[in-house]
This record gives sequence, C-alpha cells and structure tokens, in this order.
Amino acid sequence: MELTAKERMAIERHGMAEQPPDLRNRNFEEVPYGYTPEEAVAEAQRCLNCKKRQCISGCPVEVPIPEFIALVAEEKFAEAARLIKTKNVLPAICGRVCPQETQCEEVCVRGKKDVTKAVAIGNLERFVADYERENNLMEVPELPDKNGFKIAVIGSGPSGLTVAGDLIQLGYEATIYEAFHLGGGVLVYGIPEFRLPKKIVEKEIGALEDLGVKIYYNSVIGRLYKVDDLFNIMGFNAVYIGVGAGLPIFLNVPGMNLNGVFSANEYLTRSNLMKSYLFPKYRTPMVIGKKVAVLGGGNVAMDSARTALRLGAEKVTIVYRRAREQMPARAAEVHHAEEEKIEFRLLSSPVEIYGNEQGWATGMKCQRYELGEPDESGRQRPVPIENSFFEFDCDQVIVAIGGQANPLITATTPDMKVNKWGYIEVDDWGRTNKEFVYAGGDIVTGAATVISAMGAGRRAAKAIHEDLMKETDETLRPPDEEVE
Amino acid sequence: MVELAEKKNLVMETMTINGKTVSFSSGETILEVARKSGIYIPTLCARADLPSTGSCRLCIVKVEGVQGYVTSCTTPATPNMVVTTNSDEIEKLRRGILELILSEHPYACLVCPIRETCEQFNAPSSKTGRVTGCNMCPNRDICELRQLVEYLRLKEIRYPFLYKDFPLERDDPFMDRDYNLCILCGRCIRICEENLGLSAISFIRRGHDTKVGTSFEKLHVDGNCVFCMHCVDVCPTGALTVRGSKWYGYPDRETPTTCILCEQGCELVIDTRWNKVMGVHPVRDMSIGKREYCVKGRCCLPALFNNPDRLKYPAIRREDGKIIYTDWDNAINHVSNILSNYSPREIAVLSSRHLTDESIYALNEFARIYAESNIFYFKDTEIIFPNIEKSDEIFKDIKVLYLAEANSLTDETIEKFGSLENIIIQDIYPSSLSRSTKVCAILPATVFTEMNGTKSFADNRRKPITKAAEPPGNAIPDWQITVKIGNALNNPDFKIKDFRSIQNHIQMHPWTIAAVPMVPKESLTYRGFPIAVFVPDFKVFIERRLKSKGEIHF
Amino acid sequence: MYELIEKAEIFNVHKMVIKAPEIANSIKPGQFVIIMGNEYSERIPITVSDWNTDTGAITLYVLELGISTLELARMKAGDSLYAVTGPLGIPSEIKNYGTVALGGGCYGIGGIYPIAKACKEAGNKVISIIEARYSSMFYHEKELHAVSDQVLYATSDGSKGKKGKVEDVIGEMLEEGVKIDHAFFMGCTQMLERCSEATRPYAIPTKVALNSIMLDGTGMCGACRVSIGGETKFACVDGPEFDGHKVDWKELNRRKSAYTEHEAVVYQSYSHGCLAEKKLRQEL
Repeated sequence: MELTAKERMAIERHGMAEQPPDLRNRNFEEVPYGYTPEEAVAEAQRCLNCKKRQCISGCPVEVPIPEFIALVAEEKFAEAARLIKTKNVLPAICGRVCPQETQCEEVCVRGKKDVTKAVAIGNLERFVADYERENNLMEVPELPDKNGFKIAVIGSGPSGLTVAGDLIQLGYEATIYEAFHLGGGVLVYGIPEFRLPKKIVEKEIGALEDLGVKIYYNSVIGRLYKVDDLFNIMGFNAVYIGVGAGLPIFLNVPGMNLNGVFSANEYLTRSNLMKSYLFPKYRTPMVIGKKVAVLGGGNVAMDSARTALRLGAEKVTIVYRRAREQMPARAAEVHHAEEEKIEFRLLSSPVEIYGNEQGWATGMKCQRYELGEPDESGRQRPVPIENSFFEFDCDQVIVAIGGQANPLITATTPDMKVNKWGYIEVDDWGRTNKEFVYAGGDIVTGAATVISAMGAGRRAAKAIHEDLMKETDETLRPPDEEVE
Repeated sequence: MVELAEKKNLVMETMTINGKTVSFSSGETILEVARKSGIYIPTLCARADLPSTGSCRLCIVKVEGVQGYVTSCTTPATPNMVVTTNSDEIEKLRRGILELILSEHPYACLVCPIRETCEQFNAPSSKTGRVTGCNMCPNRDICELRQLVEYLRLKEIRYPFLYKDFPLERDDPFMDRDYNLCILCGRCIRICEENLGLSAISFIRRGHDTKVGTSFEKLHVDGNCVFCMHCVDVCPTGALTVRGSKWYGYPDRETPTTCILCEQGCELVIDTRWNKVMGVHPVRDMSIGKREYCVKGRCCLPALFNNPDRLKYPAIRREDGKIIYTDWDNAINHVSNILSNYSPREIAVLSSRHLTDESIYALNEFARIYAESNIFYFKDTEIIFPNIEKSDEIFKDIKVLYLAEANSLTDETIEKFGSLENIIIQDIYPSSLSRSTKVCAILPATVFTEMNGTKSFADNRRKPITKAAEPPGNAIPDWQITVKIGNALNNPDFKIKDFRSIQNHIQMHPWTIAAVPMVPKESLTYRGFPIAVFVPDFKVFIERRLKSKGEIHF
Repeated sequence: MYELIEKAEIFNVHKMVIKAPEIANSIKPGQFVIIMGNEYSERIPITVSDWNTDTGAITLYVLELGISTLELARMKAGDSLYAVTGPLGIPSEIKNYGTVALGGGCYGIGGIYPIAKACKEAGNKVISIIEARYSSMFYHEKELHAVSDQVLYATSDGSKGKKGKVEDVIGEMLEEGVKIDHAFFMGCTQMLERCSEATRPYAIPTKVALNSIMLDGTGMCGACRVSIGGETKFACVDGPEFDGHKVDWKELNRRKSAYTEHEAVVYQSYSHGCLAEKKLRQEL
C-alpha cells in the first residue's frame, strides 16, 4: 500500500528502545536495543523519497539512502543491507557510530527545523545490517577475476578495511597488516562494547576475509617491515597507510605519572581490546576507580566516562576546558553521559593532580576558565580566570585530550612528507608524495570519525585503482614486470 | 612423643623458669609451661595443637642438673625443675641450628641487605612458580623462618646454599607444593595423621632426598588427601600454598561465618580483600573438634562467587520478546503484574535447600499466600514436597513458575507442566532455562557470603551467616526479592516486611524450616549449579577422584 | 599461531624457543617482542635473547611472575603461542666504545647476550658480569663466554664468583681502576638502579633496559611511561634503553606494582588441571 506524503509526514520518528540509564551504566551490553521489524518499517515510511536526495550528499561514502529505505518499507531487509554494502562495507558499524545528526540526517528534509525529527537513517542502517547478520543472510558477492595487483594495507581500522574491501571487489589482492592480535583498529580497542559490540566487528571482518582479504595480525609495520620493504621485498604494487593517530597526549601538570592516571587510549584498550571488563577470565587487569575524573570533551572522553561507570565507579566527572557548546563529542553521546549521571565540570582545567604516599592519585586542583575571543577554528578561546582554583577528590584520572601522530611509520619512511605535527600530507585522493603510497584516516587528519576515515579509504581505493590502471595502459600486465 | 591422653592429670606443681616460679599440671612439657607463663621459646616444628617430635631442636633449654640441652617441647616439666630458656650460649646454638636449616632453604633474601626496599617494590612477584627467595614467596609475611631470623638476629649464613632441586608439584588441584622450601618439620604429616586420621602424606625417600609426599609419590588427588588444606595452615614456610589464595599481604577483613554448602554447617573465616572473597581459613582457635570443613568450603568459594558471569541486574521480557535490564522497582512491578493475572492454584514455587532460613521462610510464606502452598524442592533429581498433601499432580495446572533454583529444572520436569505460560527466575547465575521464551523475569540474588542471616543444619543447629563481601551489580538477598514481590501483590495476609519480621515468624513457625530437606555432605552442587562449572580445579578433583577411587568423600 | 620449538626451566626462568621467521629476520640487539600465550592472556613484553635466521627461531627467557607468564611456563614444546608481535623498541646503539661492561641478572643473563655479541663484533672489549642467588641458577653461560672477553660472576651465597651482586663486582673493578667506556644493564629494577649508582661516580655512560608495564608496545597507550631526567618517555617506542643515571626509579617501581591486587584475584578461577585443561577452558 503506497502512502501519501501527508500520511508519511504524520508518522512520528521512532526512537530506539534503550536500557534505562540507571542500569545500563553498570553493564557492558549495548544501550539501544535496536528496532523491531515493525518499528523499522514504520520509520522507513517516514521517508518522503524527495527529488533532491540531500541525504546522499551528506554521506561521506554516498550510501543510496532513499533506495535502501524504500526496500525497508517493503520489508526487503536483506536486500536493503546488500544495497548499502555496495557503498559501505561496514553498515552495522556505521549505523552505530556515525554522527548522522551532522551528516545525512542533518540535511534530511524531515529534519529541517529540528534534526531530531529527521528520518532515523542511522537506526535503519543498523537495523538492516543486524537483520542480515542475525538471520545468516550475508552473501559473498561474486568477485571479478584477479587483476594481478597486490595491495598492502597497514592497519585494519575503518579506513584500512574500506580500502581492502573496495579493492578486492575490483579484482585486487588485498593484504592487511595489523599490529594487534585482533582486527578492527579503533573499532575494537577504542569504541566500547556497549556502543559497538565486538562480535559485530568480528563478523564484518570475517565477511571481508570471506571475500579473500588476507589479514596478518601482530605485524607492526615500521618495525617488522618498512614501507619500502613492502614494495621491494614483499612485492606489493601499492601501499595504503591507515594506522590511526596513535600517541596519547598528557597534560604538562604535576602528578601526570601517578598511579591511577591513564591515557584514554590505555583505559579503553584495556577494557575493549583486552576485555578487562571480563577480568579475571581475561587476564588483563584494570584499576577500578571509585571517583573518576575524565579530562576532555570529545567522544573518547564520553566513552571513557561511561566505561568507568560500567566498571563500577561511584562517581564520574568530566573536566573540560571550554563550554558545553564547544564540546566536540556527538550530541547523542553527551546526552547519554548526562542521562547516566556523569557530572560535568565545564570551563575548568587541572593544574595539578594530587597523590598519596604510595603514589596513587587522590585528587585534583583545577582552575576555572572563561570564554574569550574566537581562535582560528572559530571556537571561542578559553582563558584562565586568575585565582579561581578549586579542588576535588578523585582516585582515577583518564586523560582524553587527544593524541598526536605516531611516528613508527613516518620515522622509518624519511622520504614521505609529513606536516609540522607529524601527520602525513596527502592530496584530495589520499596520495602521498611517494609514488603508490597512499594514506588516510587519523594519521592524515588527526583524530576524526569512523565514517570520515572510511570516506578517506574509499577515495584512496579509487585513486589506487586509477593510478595502477593507468600504469598498465588499460591492458593487464603481470605485476612482476611492474616491480622491475 | 608425648601422648595427648597423658595431659589429663590436673595436679598443680611448681617449677622455675628464668628465675620465675611458675605452676604447672603434671604431664605438661617445659614448652607448654613456658608458653602459659608468657615466656617465649622459639620453635619451628612444635605447635600448641600438635603432638611434638623435637625434630627442629630450636626449642632447646638448659635444665639445671642435666648435662647439655634438652628440647623443651618433648621434655615433661617436673616439680622444682630449674630451667633457663635463653643465654648467649643457647642463642649461639640456636643460630647454628637455624643456619643449618637455612642452608637447605633458599635464604638469599633472608640475609640480604636490600631486602626491605626490594620486597616493597616487588610485591607482584609473590606469585612465581619456583621460589628462589623471599621476594617471590607468597608466604613471606607469615613465614616462621623469617620471624626466627629476626628474633635470633641472624645476619650471615656461613654455608653455601644447597638447592634440593625437587620438581615443582603443581599438577594437583587447588594446591601448589615446592618442597625445595620445606624444612622437614613434619607438621603437615602430623596434622594429617594425628588430627585428621588420614595419613595422606608421610616422609618418603631417604637421606638428603627425604621429602614429604604420598605413597608411591602419586598426585595427592589420587591418594587419600581430601584437600582440607590443614597442612597448608600449619606449614611454617611457603612450601605449601593454596593456589587461589596466592597473594601477598593480609586481608582487609576476616569474617567468621558458616558454610552453607551442605548440612554440616562448618564454621569458617572469610578473608575479604577489595570487597571480594579472596580466601577461606579455619577459625584461629584450631582445636581439633573444629577441623571438619572440606575442599568445597576451603577452596571453592572465591572462584564460585567471584565469577564474572554472576547475575547482576534484574531483567524483564519486553513486549517484543527481548529480555532487557531494568531497575528493581520496574522488575517487581512487571513480576507482580504477571502474577496478579493468575489464581493461586496456577502458581508454583521452587525453593532451594541452599538458601538461608530467612529466604526459605519468605518463599514458603509467599507460596502459602499466593500459590496455594504449591512449593517444592529438588533433592538432586528427585522432587520433594514439604507440604505432604501435594504431589507433582499439581504441575499439570500450573501456569506460572517462580524458581529459586532454575538450573535444577530439567527438560523432563518442564514437560510435566502441561500449561506453563510464565517463568520467574530468582538466581545467582544464568541457567539454560534463562533462554526459554517463557521466562518473563530474571532476578539476581546474593550468595551466602554476601548477606546476613541464619541457617539451620543437621541436628537442628541454627548458625549465623555473616556478610563478608559485596554482591555483584544490584543483586539483593533472596528473602528481600520475595518480600518485595509478596508486598507488591498486596494481599494483607502476606505479613512479612523485613528481616526482623521474618525472624520473628521463624521463631513462631520453626516447622517450616524443619521441613526443608538437608543437603548431604557429598553434594556437588550449589543451588542447582554444579560447583565444577565455576571452579575448574573442583572439576579436576571430582573427575580424578572418580577415576581412581570410584567415589568421592569430603 | 607461533610454534614453541623448545622449552626448558632454569629456576623460574623459562627458556622459550619460538618459530617466528619474520621476526628472526628483522630483529636487532636490544629489541623485544610482545607475546600472548592464549587469547585470554595479557600482552607481555619480553627481550629477545637470541635468534636464528636459518631456522626462523627466536629465543626468549621468560620469568614466571603472574598468571600470564604462569600459563607460558606451563606450555610444552610443540604447543603454540597465540600472538608474538615484534620486533619492538629501538635497537641498542652498537659501536666501538672501547671496553664495554654488560651486567645481567635474572632474565637479563640471557637478555644481554645479543648486545654482548654485537659489541664484540663491533670491536669492543666485552666484560660480561652476571648475578644469581646461587651458582646453579646461571644459564646461557656457554654462549655468553663465546662473545665475551671476560665473564664475571656474583652470587648471594658466594658459591660462584664474588659474594654479592653485579654492582659489587663492577664497583670493585672501578675502584681498582679498570677502564670502562660504556656500561649496559638488564634485570630487575632494583638491580638496574643499584648498578647505575655504581657507575655514576665514574661518569660512565650507562644504559639500562627498562621493563615497565606495557599494553600495545607501539606508543599508543602510554602505560609504559617513565620519567627520564624529568621528561616523560614511552619505554616501548623511546626505549627500552635509557640513561640509567637519569631514570626516576621510585616512580618506575610504583608504576610497576599498580596491579598487585588484580594479579591475586585472577588465580582463583585458574586451573593447572591434571586432565585436559584446554578442553575445560573451552567448556567454561
């Protein structure tokens, strides 16, 4: 039965049922439960299928959003999932972690006045991907004949997986080198279980392996092989660097090396990758703070704060230098954090971490800030207020104020251009100054989102394809000759 | 060897120790008299609660009129005896004896000038396999050798260390043994033989090769050992350790309570650290009568109760069929809404023998008011009805089950419930039943170390249960859950409101508790869950026992 | 999976020879690997003591010190490790210093071997000093002798070499006027600190291999941060070798003992098992 536009307009947005905050803050199961099929169909019927299709332009990987939503409305869920996969190899992941409210949903006609009224594109994407996976409807698509080119991808994070997935579907041999013992990069070590169940990441990587992507774990490029070795010794035709940002930044204040002070990277890696929330079955231990202070205002800070609550913290406080409006975290994440009774101390920054005799953190001295003139990014600059100090108790401090470029690869590839912060310089398509070496994701942009890294991966895959095909003069020559 | 029976004679006499006149009853040894009088004599092999052998010779004293020195632990006190327990000469001799003992015990750390700083910063290393010095020894804080080294101010050992090079013995469940640390004091053998009558271990081999072991050097699990760990409790060194309690330092709290795992109701002390059950030890007064507990209470509790799979948060089934977590108010609302749709004859309660009296009473009262006294127990696979008028005939009309021991319910039993519509689970672990689509609520309960109460055991002994650890997540005691549901259903006849009112009711209706079947000593389960599922070493223990002996005794 | 080719115990130090050809091909003296015995294991950094590019084998000396190393210690030749990641860390700086003194204790006896070998090949006079509590605790001696001009011993009970520790031996040498141009130490933190103090008065350039707690080993987490001359460094990517005269030892010691309590809890649900333990684990 075809609905009229008016009928469609009358349907209210379906929120996803969620665990109530009082109890979700103590377990690691996912917060939103996902749509039921009925809810999904009803939500899909809200899409007006407008001519302009703004939503697609809002998507970094250009998922055919109206088309897949139309399939959902017809209850063709698995077909919808397959359609998304023509553009996005990781829909179950993106449906969960993309900031839709600043991308596809922001430009949705239904959300013009109020973005929270937009068609719930992310929820629908997640639903169809979950439906396909949970009902074992995942299919291995038919692949073209191998074209003989070998591509090395460094890092199995979102951008690396996208590059490998795209290129294998174009007939390339794709090999991923992953430093950890599990694949997924930030998807497994960074994003907590309750936001993105690791089973899903494992499944999606498994799907790529079914396609023929080879993944070598425990392989730290820069140490085991240099980038040049990948060409000269291993015989790859192109290399994509998607190693993520890497090194954590600590504040330059006294007490930063006390026990109980963690980088968010360490805190989240322990909990997520090493599964220390399942300690002692998993052997990696985790300090469980009673009163936890998290420094920073980004998604990583929110993830850390919410992880701390789930691990058993009595109270979690987020300390952020600027105001609420300047927080880089997703609105939904800040909202979740507030719902879970995480305290915010805004316009404040620590000047010292106190410790006890045994060397464990016990408290923090902060200075208050006010907003001054806007800086070059357009955000108002926080300015310290003189003599406005305050103190509070905390036995664990998680520093989530961002990272800097990991020099493992760039230092061992001296002829590759990096900017003054150590991030790799690339053109719009991910090409570095080194021939057939491409890069994307956080090692180019600094900390950003999963989907923007996937977008970078998508563009780099296109560039690799274009460049290598140009080399072959559109006739396929065996790659061995190329190497010489 | 002094027979214990000899000590019964109670005629008081006097003697002199270090110039002080002290009284004693005949049959007492010099050591016993000295201890009673507050005079310290160093010992390694002797213990107040064990027969003495005089083998370590550290307790030597000078007796006037007797040539040389005598071991005070084996020499009976006699009237007007004049004893000197300490002198430069005695101390020198004792130092010599200790030096000799230590020449076969890894002593490097004992006389190391940087020991203090080293141990302070090497706390984690107390869990090594082979101990080559105190900094690696989990027993170092209670080590009697160390105390003696300090007492005798031993600063140097003149002999090179002779490592006996026995292989580590850690293939047995629960227990690690490193006889390279053993000083052959024989306490373990004596407690096993004299006090427990088991003789699982004895001195084996000869000469330098002498060590403690089982006959034919079998694994303990294949011999007579019952893993009561009393040998560990009396070992003066780190040679014997309970693997699960291998950690450095003292517990934050020691809580005496009663083990609920079987009808024996043994008294034990829970070691709590970080609000968790970290270990169990006997009551400090180790008189013979109190040594009765078994491997289950001594070794299994930490792993059984600290397992991360414990139910932590109440959960209910949403309308779309998904189980979701919720808070207690919601869960109780949900449960009472469902129950209020049924008449009492359509409801049945499965209680558990492993609950405290208060929890059992609450379930009983619930069944009386809201379930036509349809209450039953499992005794292994047998179904027991404490209400003699009932039989499993009632099952065919039952539409709602309220289970406090879900794991006992087999598919076969479930089939007897022809018209079952809803299941309410109140338990400590997820069971296979949790996956049934009929489950409408899962309510997390506490285990006996996480609550206060009382428990009746064989011979109507009622003993206290004391909270020693924090429950996981939002779990609460069983009686509290039952009282919440009972009160939410609003029947004025359901009168129990809190812990005190339940206790008053129990006083008035003791037969409700008496009707509960006892858990036999041989039971291998806790609340319907096989202990072996959560305690891997217990699985090893029972499988191996069955293989070698065909039966298991605790 | 990484096959364990050879396994032996020398007083709680476990020799593990592992097949890891890619690592054997690329590793250099002073570098380490991070290993996991099984998928539940912690990630443990271990110095590589020897390697063979022909057989593709690397040799590690692992000290049993907790649950994850216990599980490694209980492995047998023929078993497989779940993960071996490496090489990690910056290689030792090898050049012709003149006379090089290398001190090793515990796992460091094996650990200093590749550095001694490289120093020897670079034309140095190599003096290796190794310590143990008792004479029977030494290992890897033959190999060390082969690459050292002199091997000196120190034991706590005086049963071999000098009664004492490495710092006593080196202190005596320096007092006697033996010229040492470069010193290198590997072992427990206590030993590193005391040895560094022994060379400080003589201003001998001293490198120590630090063993702070690590997670990823690629600089990503900062768990291994140490203070070197007031500056925060990451032992995994800036080290593991640092100037022994600049290390904040107190901080390092206290950071290393952060997880004492967790290491105790973990033992409760562990079984060595005299039956098929692996099968048990899978069932649980």
